Amino acid sequence: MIQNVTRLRRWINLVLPWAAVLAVILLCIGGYWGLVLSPADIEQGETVRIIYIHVPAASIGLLIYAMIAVQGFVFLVWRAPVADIMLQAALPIGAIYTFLALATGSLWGKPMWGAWWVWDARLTSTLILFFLYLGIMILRRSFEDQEMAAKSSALLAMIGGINVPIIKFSVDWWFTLHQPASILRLDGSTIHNSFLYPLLVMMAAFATLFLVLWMVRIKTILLSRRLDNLYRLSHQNRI
Amino acid sequence: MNRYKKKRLYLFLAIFAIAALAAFLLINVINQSAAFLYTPSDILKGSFNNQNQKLRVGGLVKPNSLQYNAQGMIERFVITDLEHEITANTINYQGNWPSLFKQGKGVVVEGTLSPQGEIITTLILAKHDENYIPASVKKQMEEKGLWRGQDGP
Repeated sequence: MIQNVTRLRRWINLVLPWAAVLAVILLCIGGYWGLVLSPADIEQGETVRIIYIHVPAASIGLLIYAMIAVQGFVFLVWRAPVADIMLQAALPIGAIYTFLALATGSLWGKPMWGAWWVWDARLTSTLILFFLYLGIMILRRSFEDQEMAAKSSALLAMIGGINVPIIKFSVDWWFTLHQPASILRLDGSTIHNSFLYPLLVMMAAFATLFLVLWMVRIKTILLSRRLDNLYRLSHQNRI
Repeated sequence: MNRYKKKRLYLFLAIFAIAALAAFLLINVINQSAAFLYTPSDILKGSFNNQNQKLRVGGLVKPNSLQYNAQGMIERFVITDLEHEITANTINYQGNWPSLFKQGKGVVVEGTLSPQGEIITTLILAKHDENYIPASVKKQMEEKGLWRGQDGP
């Protein structure tokens, strides 16, 4: 455990500054390309530009959850504390990404669809994803016993993984007001390259930004655990 | 892998499988009892006699089916699923017309079924499809005479 954590910390210290620089560069390029250089859509007009926040936030938010579910499973079977720390660190970032996807989608939906919100399968399953994130975070904090907290939140995280394919394929399995996938399709992408390229840059930017925030959170959790241990030790010595 | 790890591996795989099965069954039940919307064919085949029941009907806005009043407001349009069609009555519709409401494009209306078989519309939602095309491409293609409507270049 201590070996793994030391290795993790050393690795993070090495990668973090580079990843941070890369995230800023990608955000600047993608932001300028998407919001200024890329064209308006034939039907949506300038409103299409919300895609450069909405799609990266939604897709990376979903990927983060897929990773969290796998880490929950790894923690339950192999009892690797590193998996618990990484899982815990990723939760609030995934929650914020998913919230961003819901909020930007709502802002787009009002003028385009005519409704802020509809209870179709894609929107509802994404809302469930957001509540899952919050639920695991609350569960993680509601136990005094850290071992118990880690195990129960890992179990909920793992079971919540069922929602991941439901979100991805909701637009194919049911009639949804939400449009079907444009990029990952069997018959090729249906989004013009002048939208696709800035979108891919923004997705890379959101993914890199996640890695940066994640590493910072992992460092913070490691430090706060060390602080707890030191506090406990000093308390014991006084008695 | 030691014995306990193996045991835990099978245990949690089993828990996940059971939960996935439960989710699958639940989804099946929901699928049978509730639809987000009906198609015009569903409405014509089904028995929707209750005039107070709110329905959602979805399909395409039939091209050239829009009827306007003297003020240029849309009073009626036809929703088609390419097999059957049904008329949406928007004479008393006060709400917004979504930007994506266009002839030949996806639409969902909410309302009640009148004795004449029209949907007295109380809500109009437009559906965007998966195609993203820059506005300038349409102009270029029209100049070259390649444009074949909005369904695709």
